[in-house]
Amino acid sequence: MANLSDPDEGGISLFPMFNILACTLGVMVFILSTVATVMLGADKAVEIVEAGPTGPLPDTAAEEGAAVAARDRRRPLWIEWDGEMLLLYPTRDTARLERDLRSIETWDETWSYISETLAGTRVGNAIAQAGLDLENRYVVLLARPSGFDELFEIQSYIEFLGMDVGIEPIDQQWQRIRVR
Amino acid sequence: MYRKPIRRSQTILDLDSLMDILSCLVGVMLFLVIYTVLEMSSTSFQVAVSVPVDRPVESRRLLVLANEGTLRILDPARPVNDLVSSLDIVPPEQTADYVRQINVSPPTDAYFRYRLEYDEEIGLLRGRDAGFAVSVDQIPGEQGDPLTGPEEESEFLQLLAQYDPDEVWLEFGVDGASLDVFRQARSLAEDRGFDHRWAPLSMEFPVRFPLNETDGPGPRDLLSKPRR
Repeated sequence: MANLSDPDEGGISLFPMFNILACTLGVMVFILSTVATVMLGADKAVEIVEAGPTGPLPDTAAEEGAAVAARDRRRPLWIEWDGEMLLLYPTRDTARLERDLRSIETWDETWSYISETLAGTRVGNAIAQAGLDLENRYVVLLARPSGFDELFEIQSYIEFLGMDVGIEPIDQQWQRIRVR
Repeated sequence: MYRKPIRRSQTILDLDSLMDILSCLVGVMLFLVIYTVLEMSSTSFQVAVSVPVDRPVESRRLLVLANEGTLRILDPARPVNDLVSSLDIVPPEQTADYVRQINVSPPTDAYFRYRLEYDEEIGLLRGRDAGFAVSVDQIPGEQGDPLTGPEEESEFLQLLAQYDPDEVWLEFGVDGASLDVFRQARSLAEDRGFDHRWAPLSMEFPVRFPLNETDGPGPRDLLSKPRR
């Protein structure tokens, strides 16, 4: 008598089900990773690119060319100011200024205090070294809103050392900052 | 002829190795996707570092206040001109009356109200002109331009279009809540050829400044320290 049953098909194969589950799991992991990454993106990495100092150029074309060339070769010293400390980029060395700079009555006392506080620190050394090479260096000060009140004091200190300084405001919540 | 029976178990492929390779590939791809998304979420912008320089004397400062997420141009030149236009024909002894009269309906612009103040004691001691000051106050309810709409409808750009980049340079007074709108406005001003500078905003209204300072108050007016 004919028998249609196949001895090899005695049980249900779960492999297709396993594949579906694995695929679903993979897709869910992918979606979760993407969503989590996008959420992390709220804390954006910001790359700040130096564009060189600007300013009025000399009248003659020859002098203008020389001035542009001189500006092009100048390298910035990147410093962040948040109202409490100076942060050097890209090494991330810090120097803390404990006193409220606005409470210091005169500019001379303000500059003396900053100078004494920075003495011996890596930030102070970097500023001092840049100050010895005025033709090729200038300072870019990245200012967070928390440091706005005392920004003028920091700026005037760097100018007091004879260095050109450009200032750029950066958002308070920016954490991952790269300079180039 | 005798054929060697094929054992069924030998026909099943061992897929473990393939599974390992696939798993590794998926892991690497996931890593690449995460890295790409992180990089895409990064913002990159170029800082045009402008080292402060002395502006040409023929170029006038125009103050742009970027505070509370909006932009307002503060240009006291025209209102001040309205305030002092008739001063020359006012006899000195009637100066105080003139000031009271003109302040009944003081000149305004889009965002600010300008009042004339006169200190009789200083006027008597140093001459009448030294006794005048202008007080600038905000018009309640007049919000600035948040630059959220199309450029054609931007109030800031419409006001800015009234100025010549060769005659004025912009000083942005910026507070911590307005960095985005400041960057946007700075870029728009650069596109239109305006020279610019910025400073943290520290002024509180009403702002008072001597009449002879035609450029009006600046963001740093309250920050100066005594010099030795």
